[in-house]
Amino acid sequence: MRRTRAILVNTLPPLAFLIVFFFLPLVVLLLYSFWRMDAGVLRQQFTLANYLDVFREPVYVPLLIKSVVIGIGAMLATLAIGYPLAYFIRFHGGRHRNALLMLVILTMLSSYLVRVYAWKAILGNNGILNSFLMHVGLIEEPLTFLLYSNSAVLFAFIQIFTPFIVLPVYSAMANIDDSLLEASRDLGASPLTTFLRVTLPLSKPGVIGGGLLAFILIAGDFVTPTLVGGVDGIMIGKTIQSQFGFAYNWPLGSAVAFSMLALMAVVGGLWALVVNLLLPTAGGER
Amino acid sequence: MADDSPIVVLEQVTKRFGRVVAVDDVSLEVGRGQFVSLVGPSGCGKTTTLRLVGGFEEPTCGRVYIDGRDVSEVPANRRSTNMCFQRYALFPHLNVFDNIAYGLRVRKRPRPEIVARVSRLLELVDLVGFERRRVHELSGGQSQRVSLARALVNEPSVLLLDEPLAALDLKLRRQMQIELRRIQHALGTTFIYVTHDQEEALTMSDRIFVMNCGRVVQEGAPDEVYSRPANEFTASFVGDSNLLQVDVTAPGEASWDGFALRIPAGVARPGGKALLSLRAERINLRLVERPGDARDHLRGVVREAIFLGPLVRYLVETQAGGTLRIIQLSSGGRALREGEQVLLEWDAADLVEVAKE
Repeated sequence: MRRTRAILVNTLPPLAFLIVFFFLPLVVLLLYSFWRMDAGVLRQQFTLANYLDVFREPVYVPLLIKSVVIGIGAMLATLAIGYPLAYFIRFHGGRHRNALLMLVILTMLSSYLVRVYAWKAILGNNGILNSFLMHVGLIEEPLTFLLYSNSAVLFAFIQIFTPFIVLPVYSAMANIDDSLLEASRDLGASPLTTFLRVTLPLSKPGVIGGGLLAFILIAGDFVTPTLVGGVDGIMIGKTIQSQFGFAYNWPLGSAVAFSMLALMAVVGGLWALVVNLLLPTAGGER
Repeated sequence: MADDSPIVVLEQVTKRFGRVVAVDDVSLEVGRGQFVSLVGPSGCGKTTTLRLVGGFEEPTCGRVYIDGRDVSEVPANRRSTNMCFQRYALFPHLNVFDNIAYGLRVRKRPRPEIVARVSRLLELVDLVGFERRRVHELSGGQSQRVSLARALVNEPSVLLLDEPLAALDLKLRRQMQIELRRIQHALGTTFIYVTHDQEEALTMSDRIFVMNCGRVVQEGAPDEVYSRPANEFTASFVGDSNLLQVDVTAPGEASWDGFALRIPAGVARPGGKALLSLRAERINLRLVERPGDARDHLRGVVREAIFLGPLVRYLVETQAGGTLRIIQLSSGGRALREGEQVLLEWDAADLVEVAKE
């Protein structure tokens, strides 16, 4: 009894903070999603009309799906870059391990907005890429499709969110004691076999956690699509934001937001499931 | 039919890490089917030597031979040795069965063979029924046995053990020492065992290599190394020794800090100096002077008396000025106390000349 009280006392302050500043607003938003905005007037009567709008209006569902797809795609791409990077730093970084890790973290120190703007400077008509290509004579007119497109959004996401994968994966790999790798070699395994049977399975938590984090941050993002996405590169985050902005339809915005939340939860769960299935513990036998 | 050639040979092997010389021109031979120990203080190079045999390090100079083959450049995964790691290094994502079966799975052995061999090993290490246990559910002793079984599954010609019992409590350690010996006898595999515990090395080995500062300072059977230490280091590291710096006055006689004593005949050089080792348990202490003894005796005062259970360790300041360490069995009566006047006596034959470092 004394112990339960001690636990409660210790967790109450952060729990209270979480309740007041996270759960309560979430509950309020959920309530909003069941109310209705009728010609500029908020009607606080329970209705499912907002959710019906989400599914019936032609604009929302495709955008939800597109955002999830971009989220998954960008996440897989960052994984493809971040995993080898983490592996290299952990197992071949030697004395320079911490310095290399610092370099990765350093990229996260600069403002998010600054980094997105940097992509404008790179991909724009007068940007670095176009200037370079014209300078070497490969093109005569600037490539206008570079900026304000889906690809611009994708590239920006990959560059910005790679550290979010590198750190969890590195952390999981750091937990792999070197003696485990030596033991594997001692028992006859080649470096590749050791990777497949020991390193990969043991880095699973990092892959799942890092991938989840990257996916969630990317799929719901609206800053990057706004700045470099243009009309083509629009994602659901922008739509939700506008409902809370100039479109001023909080009920609808909330309904879209919670639909996205549910979708991301499902995808996130599937991700964990798939990784667990693809990276079995012992290489499959039993 | 019995092959007498040594199974492991190190030929003038040196290993340098940057400017640190971990193993310094070591040459040794390990006989087949023997239980051999590398013993010495931390940093003496014993673990590095073991790792050189296992293929985890490449020699800076010198050659390593296993079963007649030069394996100096052969990596660990292609050597016929296997290692039991100090902190077990069990794969945490695999259960006991899969840990032990790892070596066989890597070699793509068929499933029935894997099941048969793993089951036999589980019996050997007395862990039948533990197949599905997770690694974190195992006690220290159980982990140690899984580590052993895993290292034996590929039937290595040499098993390397890196202080495998270091993390176990005393009673368990003593049990496992007997177990390891039994298993080694049963399999006939050559065991190379690294430990800093000289008592452990003495208990288990057929042959001991005493190491210090990257070199082998003495090798031999346990009783040999114990009773005939060749140098100062071995005398003080193995067992409890007193080192007496004496001036040889005549053949068979010497003076230790003014006290005349008899020494073994072999120690010649009248007029010269010699360093003699005297084991702590070979000195007898008693309170009362008894006339007509053939043994040498010396007077002293007890400065320290430490009770060790079955033994008592004394520190005695002698009339000659030097201090002697004595170990005696705890007698039924009371132990000697600090400040008491005692007589020390020993047999001249127990004095062993050791080389100065």
